[in-house]
Amino acid sequence: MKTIIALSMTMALALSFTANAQSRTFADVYAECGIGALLFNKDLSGGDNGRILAIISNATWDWGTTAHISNQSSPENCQGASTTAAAFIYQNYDRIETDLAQGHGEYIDALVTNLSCNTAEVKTAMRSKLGALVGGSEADIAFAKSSALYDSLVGSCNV
Amino acid sequence: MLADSVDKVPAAEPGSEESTDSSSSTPPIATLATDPQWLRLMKVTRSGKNTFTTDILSTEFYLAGRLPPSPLDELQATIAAFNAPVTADKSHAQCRFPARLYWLKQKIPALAATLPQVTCTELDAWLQRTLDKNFYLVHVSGYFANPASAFGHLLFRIGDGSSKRGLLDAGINFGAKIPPTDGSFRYMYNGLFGGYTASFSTKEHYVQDKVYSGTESRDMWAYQLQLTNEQAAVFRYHLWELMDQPFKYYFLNKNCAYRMAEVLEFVFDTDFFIDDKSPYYAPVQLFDKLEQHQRDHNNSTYSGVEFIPSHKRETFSAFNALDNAEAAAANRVLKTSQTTDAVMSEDSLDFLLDYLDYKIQGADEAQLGALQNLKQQVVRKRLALPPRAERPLAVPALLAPGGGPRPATLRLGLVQERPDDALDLSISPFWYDLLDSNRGSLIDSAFRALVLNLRVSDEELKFNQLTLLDIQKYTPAGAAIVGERAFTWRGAAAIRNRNGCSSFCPVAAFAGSIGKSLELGSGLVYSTLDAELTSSLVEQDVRASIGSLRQLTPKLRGRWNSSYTLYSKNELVSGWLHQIQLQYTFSQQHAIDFSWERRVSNAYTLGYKFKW
Repeated sequence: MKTIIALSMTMALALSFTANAQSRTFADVYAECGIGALLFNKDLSGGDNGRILAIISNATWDWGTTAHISNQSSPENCQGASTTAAAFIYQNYDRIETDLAQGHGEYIDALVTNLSCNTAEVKTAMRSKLGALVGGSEADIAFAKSSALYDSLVGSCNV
Repeated sequence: MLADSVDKVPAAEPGSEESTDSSSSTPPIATLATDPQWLRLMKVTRSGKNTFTTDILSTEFYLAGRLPPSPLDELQATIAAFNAPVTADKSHAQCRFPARLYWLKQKIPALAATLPQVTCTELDAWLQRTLDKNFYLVHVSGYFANPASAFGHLLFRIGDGSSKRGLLDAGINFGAKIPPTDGSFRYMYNGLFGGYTASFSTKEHYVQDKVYSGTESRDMWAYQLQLTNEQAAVFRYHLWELMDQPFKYYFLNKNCAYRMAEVLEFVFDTDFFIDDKSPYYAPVQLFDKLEQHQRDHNNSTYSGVEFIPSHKRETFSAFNALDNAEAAAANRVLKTSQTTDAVMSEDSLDFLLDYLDYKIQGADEAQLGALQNLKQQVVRKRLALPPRAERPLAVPALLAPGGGPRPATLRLGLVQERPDDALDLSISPFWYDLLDSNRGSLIDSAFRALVLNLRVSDEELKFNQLTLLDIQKYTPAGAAIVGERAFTWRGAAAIRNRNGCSSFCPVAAFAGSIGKSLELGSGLVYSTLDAELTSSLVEQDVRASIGSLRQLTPKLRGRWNSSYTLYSKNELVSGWLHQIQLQYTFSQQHAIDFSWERRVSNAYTLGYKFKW
């Protein structure tokens, strides 16, 4: 049930942020990169949420070297800035949350520095969004929060 | 197309030395196959005049398709494979082995005209992402919670240098694949005797940083390598070839340090970094070599070393920077798990956020919910205050381990203890004691492994002790954060001669200590409770100790220790034992020490340590 609630929140949040029409939602990134299929299929069939989150956690981007060895390539759109940002936010949500609250930090800088947009404005927008996300403590809500922060990022910057 | 490489290499028929260029400037294939760089590319070690061994376990790495590989067959097969028709399966040899291609282009320039044009999408992406970047060799400090990690770890990082931690850099790791079901005994056995496979892998570096700096609170030092454009190119090509290839793993010598050193030997075209005759290779040895290479090459090996403190060290520094009122306010929140209505400063709240992140990273499920709830309260409170553009935080840098004392040690000591004088002889492959000028995670620590101690008295050589492992860690209580406890501790296992025995009468001994220590000036004071259990029923004792450890001058360290025996079945170890030890360190390799010890009579020792 927790899983379904988390997924519902994720989808709702993903839909509620009408960001840049060119940008993909957080859920899109995971779905298109093959991880989403694992996530949603397993969830709907009653899979174990902890295990699914572990799948996401383990699916870090490996600079393409695994594809080279296994002769399996990721879709090209799984290697761009949006994918990197989505993974980075999810994997480091606690640290990004801290940096946004403080207003500075290496994690938020790593996220926005190489984007071709006004980083101060992006940070302000994301900090503002964080205010609406405060609360809750369960791990599965981190996915929904990550999704919201990601959409805030792509809404204020063309990732 | 290869992003920043190489002209093309023409065909050669496998098995035909005449098939290559016959110009006088091009060496024959058989000669090229013995080139040191080709042997490094092959990852082979010479085992006889014409025979080689390798630790790579997969024939996929060898285009001639056999193990152990023949460098000559492999060179011929490589040239043939580079010339093979292009297929759609993206596994063309030119895409899989760019370092071999580059090397061949250098050695046989005339071959570059006829090779097929190959598009290597994944390789191009890797080369593009690592183009014009900085290269770092990272030393991760030892992790004493796991003896296997106590020697430290190594990583490569490739990135633009825009951030200290290099979170989005490519992090290159070499690690063994250990099934989670393996118990301690199997883990040790397989680790020592080649029962595991290991491989290079890349991840965004934040994945490694999260584990080492976050969960395990390990400091790091990043050495920025100074590479020519050509060295940088072959570094990236060679890593690509090695990625995910299975190596046989040996904990003592064919480990992460050895494999990283192999890569550096290829990049710098040298045999300098590895001593193949040594039965072990610890990470600190590679950094010693790097320091030595730097000195021998006019400071052209690396441009600098950056200390990257663990999250814990940063967080505790932030606490120590608070004034008394701010520290008290932060501690109140931690004690009550409630953010009060009282006004709190940005500094207090920023510390709490960092501290709660540190605790959350190491929390078990039972603690996690409460920590996350508290953090949400702090986030809410902090968001009500304005953001800050930065918060300068001074974290004292620890000296990098490279350049410190060498690990292998031979110590000779003259012992004067009535009625007998003796010559004391000790040897160990890995010996850092409390009096050595240790660096990094070994500051105020001792870490000794496989120390054989012999004594010569009455013109007889006698076994005294074999220390299997002896780790001591003096951790001063630094930050007065509610709930934080810093312990000073020791754990040791040895086989030693029974007290008072004049012949060979070994007992198994396990020693442990637990206590507290405090920083005091340029040193620390401590008190501990010590115990030793042995396989001999008459040799068990419990002692209480107090003492001090102090850096008296930059090269002179001293230690005083007094212990009182609380419980013992052996009258030889009863009562008070007083010790004073001094060590003067001349260099990385030479030191002299003096000690005085009194139980029922005085004993003096004068020792000389040679380290290599």
